[in-house]
Amino acid sequence: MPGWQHFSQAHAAADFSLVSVAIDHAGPEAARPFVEAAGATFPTVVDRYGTLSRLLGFKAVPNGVLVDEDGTIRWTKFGGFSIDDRDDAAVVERFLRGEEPGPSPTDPAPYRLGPLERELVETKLRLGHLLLDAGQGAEAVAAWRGALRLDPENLTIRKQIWAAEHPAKFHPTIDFGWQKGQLAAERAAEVAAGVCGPDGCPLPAPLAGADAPPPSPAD
Amino acid sequence: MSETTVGVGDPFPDLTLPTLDGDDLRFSERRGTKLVLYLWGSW
Repeated sequence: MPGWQHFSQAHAAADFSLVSVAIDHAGPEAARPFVEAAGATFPTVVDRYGTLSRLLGFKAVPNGVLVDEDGTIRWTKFGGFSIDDRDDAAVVERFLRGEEPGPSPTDPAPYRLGPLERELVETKLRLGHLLLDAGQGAEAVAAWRGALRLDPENLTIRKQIWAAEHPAKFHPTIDFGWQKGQLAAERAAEVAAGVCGPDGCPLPAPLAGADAPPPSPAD
Repeated sequence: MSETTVGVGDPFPDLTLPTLDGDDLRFSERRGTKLVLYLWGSW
């Protein structure tokens, strides 16, 4: 996030909109501290239900998406995108200069989810939030687990369940080592239980983000 | 990718999402200028 604020200031003369999208089931209050710490002057929107993850077909962050003046997607990078990365920054700068951004990296772990499955996942996520807001935390997690069963590769859902069930692993600091172990344990249990996803069962491996650097709000 | 996801060459979804300030941001209203999106999570 600080890197983006720096980039935004360094390119203040360029005609573009920078928008940060927090894919955060915990809502705006989870995202706000990072935005405020960075002193971000560009807008942050909150995709509480992970709608974009299903529309664009990604299952982990951080990601970059470049959209031209006509509203057409010109470049995407799913997983490991950072403005502090020299190559990623060069792509964005080429795009801002009106040049071809170049080929998009292949999503290391794409997934397929049909429209009905996506709608059901979103409905279950929304139900979970309503339950959470009503003070029914356990029922909320149960609804999220229902969403995860349909969309088992989706780390954004999985991590949200972890955040609800293991808050000490997320506050005040995020324990990425614990996440890695937890993911491996859950995957093993799901494979043993024959959990099926849209790509069949058992779970295809590796999950995006499992072996990649953890998503870092600090970049 | 399934047929229903969008990617390079497709229009960005006409989605409206809330900003941290409580306003709504509709992506289609940003047309006419280049849009750089950074998608992240606090977790």
